[in-house]
Amino acid sequence: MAENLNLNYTLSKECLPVSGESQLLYTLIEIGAGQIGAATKGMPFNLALLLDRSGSMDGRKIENLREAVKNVVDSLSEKDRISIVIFDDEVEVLLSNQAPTDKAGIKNKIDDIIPRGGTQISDGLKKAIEEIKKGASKDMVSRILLLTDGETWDDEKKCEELSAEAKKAGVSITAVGLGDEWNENLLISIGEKSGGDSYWIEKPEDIMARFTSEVAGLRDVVATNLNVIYKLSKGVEPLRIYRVKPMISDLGRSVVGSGNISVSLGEVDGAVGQSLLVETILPSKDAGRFRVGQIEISYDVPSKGIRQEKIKADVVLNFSADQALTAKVNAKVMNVVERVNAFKLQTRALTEARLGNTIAATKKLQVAATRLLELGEVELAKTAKMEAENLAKGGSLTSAGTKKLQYETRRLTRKLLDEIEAGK
Amino acid sequence: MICPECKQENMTGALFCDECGAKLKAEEEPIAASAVSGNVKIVLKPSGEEISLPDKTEITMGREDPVSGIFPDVDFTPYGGDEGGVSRLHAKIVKEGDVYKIEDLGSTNATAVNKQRLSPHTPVMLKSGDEVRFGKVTFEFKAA
Repeated sequence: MAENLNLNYTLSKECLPVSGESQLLYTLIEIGAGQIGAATKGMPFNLALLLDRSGSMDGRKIENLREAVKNVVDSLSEKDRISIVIFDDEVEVLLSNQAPTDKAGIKNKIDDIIPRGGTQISDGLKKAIEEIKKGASKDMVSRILLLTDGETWDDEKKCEELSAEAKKAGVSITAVGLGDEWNENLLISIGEKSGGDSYWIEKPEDIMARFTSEVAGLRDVVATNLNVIYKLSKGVEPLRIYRVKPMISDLGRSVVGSGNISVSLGEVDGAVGQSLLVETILPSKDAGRFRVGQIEISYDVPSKGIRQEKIKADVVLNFSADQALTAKVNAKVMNVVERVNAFKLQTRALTEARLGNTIAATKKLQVAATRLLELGEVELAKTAKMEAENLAKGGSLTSAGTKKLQYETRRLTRKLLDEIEAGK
Repeated sequence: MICPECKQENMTGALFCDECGAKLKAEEEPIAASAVSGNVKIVLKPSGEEISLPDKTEITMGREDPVSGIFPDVDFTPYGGDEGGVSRLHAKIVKEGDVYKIEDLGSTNATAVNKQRLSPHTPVMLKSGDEVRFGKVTFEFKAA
């Protein structure tokens, strides 16, 4: 029987030199929709909208938001579930979790969203999680779509805890920041901790497109509860692991157990898939075959009632003394690594800047600019350079510049892998 | 492996420097399936000097400037780039399938192909034998 997803891996080198020392090996793991195809897309979903109605949302922001939400409501099927929670420094459940049978009634309620007060995300998040849990089932994807235009006050830690709690309950959060007065580090963290994502939109007119593609992405989900385990052979050490598709995130040391790497990656958008980049240290070996380890993925396909389907792949390479063989580097992996590096450089630069280490931050931003330029990312390179100049002149980073760097470098690998896919 | 740019020690097998992101080149580079292949070069006028273009799908051209951290693939500094008004990031050549395109990257003194000035950030087709001008520096594009 054909599996419902595809699992492919590519190594930085198929053949490693017999060098007498340990070596770094990169494994690119790609998971995509296999036989499952379009037939199983269109699963019903359970969506909670968590919307900022603080005073700063007044005017074009709230007008565009209302239209975008109505558009989402129109696109719902009767099998979907919807709830709407609005917040300023107080929280209100505008629409409790329900099937969208009365679309006209729901849309009337949306017109009642009136901007007022400040911004306090955590209480809203708590309420949204409560609401979404009411409609959750194993056969549906549950997602919170958060939109805010402001900085929350002194409850960042609480927000992060709630995001981790949401992930445990099988709820991912898409955190969308509007304009440039909000804290991108918090929204990115909410996305990462919940197994979701984060987006930056510059103008109120962009809300509609973002919400529309969010719903389209939910409809494209083909599998849920994706787990990846990379069991490493004796002597092979895990070093680092990044998600590289849909966006780059450092999955950190917490996913590394004794000799194994284990990550839970949530839903698989069939149109996008998920990819990981794993860095391992291989021991010195004599010429011959070497088994690096085994990759095992497991996932549910709710539309077919399938739970915990598994695919395994053995990762094997050769050690050789033949330089003609060991010199070959895989271009795709190399390009992915190059982009992850550019992401890492800008992350480090912005971290230095946050810590007040201006000289180090300036230098790192300049290096990041060079690497981005090498990648042909001219606009991003310019942004990095401008921010470096701001710092060098004794100024501080601009909010828009740091957001652009953070959000766009996270998409570099996705862009690359999509281009490679399209070129096939 | 020692990084050629920042001298950081990197583990064998690392593809890029962990500290500065520079390409670590201990071995031959792979040829990407979509990379520019064959003998692609530019011939400077009137000197006739040739510069081979690197094997990449996107080749940036300009003037190296370590201070601002700009290192284009093709550096025109040794070829009169400074006096000739070549911007640090002047233009790029992109290969799409069998087709080459050139794009001015918002240079100060503009890019011209066969004496027609390009609007910035708008790629145009580039054929073998075309004459390209960056500021006052002129060359012929040759794709074998």
